[in-house]
Amino acid sequence: MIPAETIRPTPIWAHSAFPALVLVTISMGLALVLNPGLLSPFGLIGWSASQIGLWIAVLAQAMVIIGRSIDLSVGAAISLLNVVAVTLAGLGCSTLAVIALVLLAGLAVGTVNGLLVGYLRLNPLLATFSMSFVLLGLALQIQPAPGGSVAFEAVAVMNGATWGCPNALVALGLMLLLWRVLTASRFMLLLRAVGSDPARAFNSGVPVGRVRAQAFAIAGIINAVAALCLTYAVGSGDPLLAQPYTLLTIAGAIIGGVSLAGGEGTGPGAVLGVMFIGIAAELALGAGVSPFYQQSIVGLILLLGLVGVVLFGNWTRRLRREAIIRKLQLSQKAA
Amino acid sequence: MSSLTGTDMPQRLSLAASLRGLPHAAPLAVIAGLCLAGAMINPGFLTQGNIVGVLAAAAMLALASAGQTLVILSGNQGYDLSVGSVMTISALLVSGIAGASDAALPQAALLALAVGALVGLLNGLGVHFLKLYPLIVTLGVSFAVEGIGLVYAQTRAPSLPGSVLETLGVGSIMGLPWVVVMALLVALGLTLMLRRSRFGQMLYMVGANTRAARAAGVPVARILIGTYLLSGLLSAFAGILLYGFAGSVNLSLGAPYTMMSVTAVVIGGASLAGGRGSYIGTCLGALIFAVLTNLLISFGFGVALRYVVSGLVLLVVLSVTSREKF
Repeated sequence: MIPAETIRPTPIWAHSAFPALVLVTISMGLALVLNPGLLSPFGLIGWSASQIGLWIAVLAQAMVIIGRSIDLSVGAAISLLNVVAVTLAGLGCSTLAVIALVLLAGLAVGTVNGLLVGYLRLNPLLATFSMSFVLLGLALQIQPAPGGSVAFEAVAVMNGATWGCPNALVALGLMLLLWRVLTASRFMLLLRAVGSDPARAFNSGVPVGRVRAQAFAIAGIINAVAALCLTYAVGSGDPLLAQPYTLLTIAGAIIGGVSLAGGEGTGPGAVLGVMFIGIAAELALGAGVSPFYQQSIVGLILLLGLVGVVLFGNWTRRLRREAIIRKLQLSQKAA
Repeated sequence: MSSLTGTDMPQRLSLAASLRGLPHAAPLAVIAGLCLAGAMINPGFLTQGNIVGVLAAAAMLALASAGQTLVILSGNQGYDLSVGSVMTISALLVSGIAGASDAALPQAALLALAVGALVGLLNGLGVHFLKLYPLIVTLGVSFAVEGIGLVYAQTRAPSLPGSVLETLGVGSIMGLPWVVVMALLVALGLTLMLRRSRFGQMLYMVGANTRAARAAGVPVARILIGTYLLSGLLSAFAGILLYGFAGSVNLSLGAPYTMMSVTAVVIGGASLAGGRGSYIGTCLGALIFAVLTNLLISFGFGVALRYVVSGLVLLVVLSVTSREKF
């Protein structure tokens, strides 16, 4: 029997994002050994600009999963917004107008998802999957083939650096700051309640449908930011540009400690998870394996990462539960 | 979690109420409505050639959704997101080993089925013993399978299917496409299994309430793992036929079928909570998908608008057939 005093507060390794942090650290170390150029100013700018869309998109996915939903339309939504941005720029809109309109469009897409899941109570998996058809179709209608361009100055900013720090990383930092603000809000508390147990949240007076709808709407805005960053990083439009994002954001969020059971997980953790996936691909490439084997290796790493992180999470949760039970037993004995 | 149970509503002997008592009333009504619309708008809709084409497309989707049906029936948030990648790798294997020759087809098909079963077994072990969400296990496994498929495909030149497989894929017997015959056979087999066999009955029990099933002495481990194994096997079978159906193989051949199969199962009336649904329902769900696509093509819609409209119609069908409590 362990005395109650030895039960410490939750240790750092039990944090949901801890496995992702370890994975990123190890893989980043390996990647630097293989390719020291990665951390050179030029390499860092290139790498962060190529990943920034995914880094931000995973925040939207994390938001939705924390409310025990899932968004299969992320890839199609960001591709659509990318095409919208390029088309608006082609019509002569100023960069500021493009940004404002794309943010609005993202909010609209997110709101529709939110209405379907929150108010019509469709299964999120199926509702967002159906939405992905609609969004893909719209993107193909607006711009059937890759092409177009956006303002060169904005592209230069996205692929540039401020005082040695790549602007893509600055954008990520700003989004994480926004996430921090959201985390402190009442909305996030309600969302976590809905995610942990929708029935209990409902019985406690939480407007479950509205909170879910709000989560999708906010995720829509985050997706729009991701789309804008991606568009200005790439500089052109493609109706299929972000298609892989759907599965990558889900896998990344899970590796980053966001639980599919809802209620648990953090935005920075999700970003770490998706970073790990990116670095794993970089590693396979840097190790000089052929691109054919690269996907195979990344696939295996993803499988092991997903399974390992979730098992580790279950284990730490069990440890914490047992600690609480022991504590209760001790206090009962004392009484 | 569908709202159409009707038990807590006063029973009225209206036409609608008695229709609701019919099995598969909702999907049948949707199909009838779509066909009616098709016949009115496009005179070519009810011609034999068009009907056969629609049936073949529906049969292919129904075959691809067979494993998904079992997994969704097994409940516990069961989805099999590896359906598409198993189909792809099975088509790749058959194409790589048998190529255009008929003599090597049996060995190739057996190997493909074995690989499918192995992937299914891995899924089942992960779901049952590691207590992981099926979504995570099957997604992770499908990433790995896709990668392996790419490695395998790299060393082979693409080839056309042999004459036997081509006949099974696009040929027909007495005016009925072979894929439809295959889907009917699978439908017969699966329905018998689900309704009459011990395994099928136990699967429904596990899906409806795993704890109660365990308490009643159902070997939950065997049923769950067996279900995922069967799903892998059936997906591999569908993949072999898809190779003949499509006439060639590429690395994203099966990918669209993953989510389409989930949708077909749910539109067919199965509950995502598990324990309720049937393979006949899934076949009707697949038919809705096929009729809808055909209808949109006959409208002269381009690819883009077809995607938009089919997404919208899916949403409407989903909001009629399956709404959740929370």
